[in-house]
Amino acid sequence: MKNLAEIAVNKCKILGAEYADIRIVEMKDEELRVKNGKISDVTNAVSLGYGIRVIVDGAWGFAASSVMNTKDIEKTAELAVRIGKASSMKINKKVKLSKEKPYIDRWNSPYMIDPFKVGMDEKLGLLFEIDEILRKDKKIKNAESYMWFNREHQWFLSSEGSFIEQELLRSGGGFSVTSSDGNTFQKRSYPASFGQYVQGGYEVIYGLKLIEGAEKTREEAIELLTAENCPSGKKDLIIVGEQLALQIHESVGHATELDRVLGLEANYAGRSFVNIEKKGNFKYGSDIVNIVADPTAPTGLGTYGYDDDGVRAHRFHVIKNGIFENFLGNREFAHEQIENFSRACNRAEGWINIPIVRMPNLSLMPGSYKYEDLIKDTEDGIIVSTVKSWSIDQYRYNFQFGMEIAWLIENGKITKTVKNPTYQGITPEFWGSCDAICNEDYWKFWGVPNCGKGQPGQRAEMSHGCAPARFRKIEVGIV
Amino acid sequence: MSEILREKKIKDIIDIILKTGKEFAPFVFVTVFSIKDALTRFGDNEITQNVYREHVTADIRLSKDKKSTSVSIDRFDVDYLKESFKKAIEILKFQKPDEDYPELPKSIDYIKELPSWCKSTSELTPEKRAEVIKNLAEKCQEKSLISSGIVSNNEGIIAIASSDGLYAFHESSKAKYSATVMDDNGDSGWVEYATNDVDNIDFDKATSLVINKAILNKSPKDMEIGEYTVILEPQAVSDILLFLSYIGFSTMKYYEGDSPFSGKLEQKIFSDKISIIDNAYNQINPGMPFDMEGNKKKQLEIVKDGVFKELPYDIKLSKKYNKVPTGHGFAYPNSNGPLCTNLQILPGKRKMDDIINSSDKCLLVTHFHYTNIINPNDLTFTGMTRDGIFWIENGDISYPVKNFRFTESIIKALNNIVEVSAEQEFASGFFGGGFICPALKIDNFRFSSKTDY
Repeated sequence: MKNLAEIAVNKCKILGAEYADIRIVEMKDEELRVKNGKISDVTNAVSLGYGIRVIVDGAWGFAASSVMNTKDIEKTAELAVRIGKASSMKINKKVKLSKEKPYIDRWNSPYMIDPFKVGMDEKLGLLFEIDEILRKDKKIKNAESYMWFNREHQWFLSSEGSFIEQELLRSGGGFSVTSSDGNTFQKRSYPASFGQYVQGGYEVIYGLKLIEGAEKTREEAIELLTAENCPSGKKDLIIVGEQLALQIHESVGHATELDRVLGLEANYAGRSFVNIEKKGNFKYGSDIVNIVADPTAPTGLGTYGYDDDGVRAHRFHVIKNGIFENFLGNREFAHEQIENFSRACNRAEGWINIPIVRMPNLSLMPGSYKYEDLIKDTEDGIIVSTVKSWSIDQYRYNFQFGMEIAWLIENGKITKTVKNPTYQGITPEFWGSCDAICNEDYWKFWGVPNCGKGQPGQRAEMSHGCAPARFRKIEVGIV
Repeated sequence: MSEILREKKIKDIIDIILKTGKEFAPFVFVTVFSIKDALTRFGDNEITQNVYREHVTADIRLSKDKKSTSVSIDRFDVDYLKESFKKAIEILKFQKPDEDYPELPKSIDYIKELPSWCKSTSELTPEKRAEVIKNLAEKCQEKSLISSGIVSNNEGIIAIASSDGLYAFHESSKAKYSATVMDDNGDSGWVEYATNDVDNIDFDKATSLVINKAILNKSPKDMEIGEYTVILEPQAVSDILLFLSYIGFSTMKYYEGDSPFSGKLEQKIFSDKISIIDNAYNQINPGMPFDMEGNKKKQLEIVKDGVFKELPYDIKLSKKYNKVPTGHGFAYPNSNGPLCTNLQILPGKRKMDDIINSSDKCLLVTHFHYTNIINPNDLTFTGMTRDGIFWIENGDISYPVKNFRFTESIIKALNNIVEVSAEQEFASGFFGGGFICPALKIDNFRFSSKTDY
């Protein structure tokens, strides 16, 4: 691989590139699905290719192909340089990368059991066992259980002397059921709406306790058919699990990506209410809100040794004691937040995409509450769980979420289950209303395996750690 | 490369796969996808990204005794294929025969002469894309405005073939120009055109339109939330069709009971002003003339004058419910069933200008942002307005309004139709897809919250 990579980068330099890198990536995916007693999908996908990125005359060019031979690599390098020259026809300032140390290194996800070596009998056997438990009641009209494994092997070589090999292994799964009484239908999922995924091997599947969660999930789906609708009005909101992870993702993660802030995503995903002037002084949340970007955290989906700029991953605060501290950035935009180093947040999906600013693992740090005490301490509240619907505006400011299930709290006690819960808010007001966060015993990583961004659209993976948290007087029940 | 050569290259790949696959299973089905994709992106009045990507990949299914397994690969040498197939067929040991296993057609007679691929689109160079952007950005800089967006062109091939002799080949192209123009306060306008033939895009006209819209949207006024009569431009209507396509008009959901229209065929579900067809053969945005099971795509009349008339069928569901496949199937096995991907709301008779001129006290909406379903039981969806929402009074656009969040049932909205415009265009949904849509004037559309932007 190194020889091919060197051919590409050397060709770009000969053709006048000021900077060049190549990412060769091999992706291997396996997905298994069982739906209503039958195998509904078995996917084995392998893809190998490369993307060449250049700076020519101060502008970016990128070309990608899966044809892996010297002749085609040189042709692709020529095209990348031509595209870079075309880009330079309309730039207002030359691309300036932060100065970073070149690395020659290898990094890989730790794991115990290679999921691609586990027999199909074990994997499918588990999915069929779950399926049987889920369909034990006639009110269940649909049951689907699944597993997914992904190995990403990358080779990065740059004209600055870096050669970095990384191997990332991701595993996970889950299930969902839909109940119906003939008039309405309700859905419940476990462990999260689209499953739970982390970096690791097949041992991750054991840790998900899928069999143990099946019966309760089925019964909750049936219970929801006769549950009352979520009441409307202001209530103290306790968010648990992956719903809080999504709240962090949408209203902090995307809002603090530097490319959005600078207007480079304005046409599609939008901009951000957070601007450069807010760094270091903007009150984003209450004093107990600490949000940390950490691509070095073990098992996170957004964990890596180096980002796709070849910058070593490191941990930093995005929000510290409620104050906005740092943007998520890369080499290109480092100087925009008056820094001379990159925050190592540039990543691409596979070989076919150009790296863009992506959030790594981004987590709400734990507080001091025990979960039981949080409920006891809540007079008129609602606990919401499991992502069902999400929408946030083009400035990451006004949001509205729907969940699969909720439970009312009256005078410190959980009193009833309600269906179709929703809540809405304005980002800084919402995080400003956070007055309690549970302690580290309740803190957990929740994986987002499919965050879409960019044009052309590409996907990235990241995790968000959190423990249940309470937000005071939030508007709920908007239907 | 000529069309014949392009097809020959794909056929060669198919031949190797079918021949090698037959060594492992009695039935082999292959779908080859080929893409060439170029996109220049701009922001803050300059080019910020510029990419070219090409990829040929094949999804291969090997079947034996009503059991099957599949692999997706992008290397086609015989040794690699053999290694992949050897591993893939291991799974057959753990399967029971699928009684619903679809018997695929052995041949297909489909319309090959669709104007889906255009030479002019394939020849759009990075230099030409840069010229378009330069023109817009310089005009914006003159007016102290900021532009962002994309100019893109791509070519795609989908070919399907089986070891029983089935073969179909379809080639398409798409050019897209999407531009946002805003001032320092973020007051913005937006325009987007997507077409198979880049010559259909009048870049100068589009550039003027988006700049004018941004200027028209300066200093929007605050307005109270509540129910308003709205005129949704085609791009906003497209999001409605997206959710109808995979929830409301999903045949699988219809029979499994989790579509709001389950059991409602031949019943009135929308206003009688609404008629919806699925038509891959339309001239505005021609679709694929066959489906991924090898059936010719038929035109469907999904809703006629508000009455729910018919659904798409793949081989599996047509067999189960005694229907005929309509050419809307996806590769077996799939858990979503057949779907309509070429939906079109049939146009009305009044021109958009007439509708606006005859309107009083209503809101004109450019498009929506980040739409999503909140409650699939009544298709309640939410999202934000974006890049221009305007108050109309006495037939005139009076002033721009600050963006709203809406929370509304699609079923209720399509029962409250006042007008359907005569004009229609191909419009992309926020989360993908694209449909042919007129503008819709709708009574009592609910805006549930406000924003400062």
